[in-house]
Amino acid sequence: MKISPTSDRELIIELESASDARAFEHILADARGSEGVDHLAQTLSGFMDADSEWDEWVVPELKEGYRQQLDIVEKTLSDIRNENQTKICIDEDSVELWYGAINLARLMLNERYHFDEIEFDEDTEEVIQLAYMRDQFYTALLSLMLDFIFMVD
Amino acid sequence: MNTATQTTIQKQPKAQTKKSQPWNVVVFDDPVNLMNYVTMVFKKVFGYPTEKAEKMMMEVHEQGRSIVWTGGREKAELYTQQLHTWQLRASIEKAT
Repeated sequence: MKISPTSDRELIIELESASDARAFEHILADARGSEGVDHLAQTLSGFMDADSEWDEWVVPELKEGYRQQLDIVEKTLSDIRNENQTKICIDEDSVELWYGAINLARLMLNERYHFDEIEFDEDTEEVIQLAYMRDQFYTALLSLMLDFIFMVD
Repeated sequence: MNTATQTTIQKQPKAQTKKSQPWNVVVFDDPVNLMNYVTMVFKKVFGYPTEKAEKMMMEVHEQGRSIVWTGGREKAELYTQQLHTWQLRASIEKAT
């Protein structure tokens, strides 16, 4: 996989193998987690008191927004499978959706595995090690988006 | 026969207008969101300059929470909804 920033505030991701494409398929699976993409909306609602009627007025919009973020990943994967596309372009128009989708994947992975509480060694279960590697990959992608598209200092 | 009546008007004190209760928007730390992302969100949502946004981000990171805005409840809820859209843990509380 090659990831190249451009002067037009884009990231061009060239997929060079089937495993590169699978890395992006994992984003959807990780974001959806075992409890579904709506889980984050409900979790955030838990920070608000009952008077705010957050569940009634805000949570449905949050859920819809998060689903739209995953839709861009789903569509891109569909293009890769059906049209043999090997390039993903993340630009200023799509970066908020991509960032949201990948960040969702990180949030759900960390909720499931609590990486900050694990002391990794050779005895760490493989499924956790693989999940952590994906988390690191997602973090790298997010950092590139912040540096080269959002242009955060 | 006319009886003069004296009418005494007692002035009632003017009803005091209660100033509306201010509310804080509070952002909580989480182990996932990147620090420069949180700074960017504060700048986008509240229009804060970089220095102020970074200071609040560091407060979230080091102290677990930061009061990022204070004002009326309705606007506080609107800001919190925006922060949730950006996937940050946030809430509102009565300002003291």
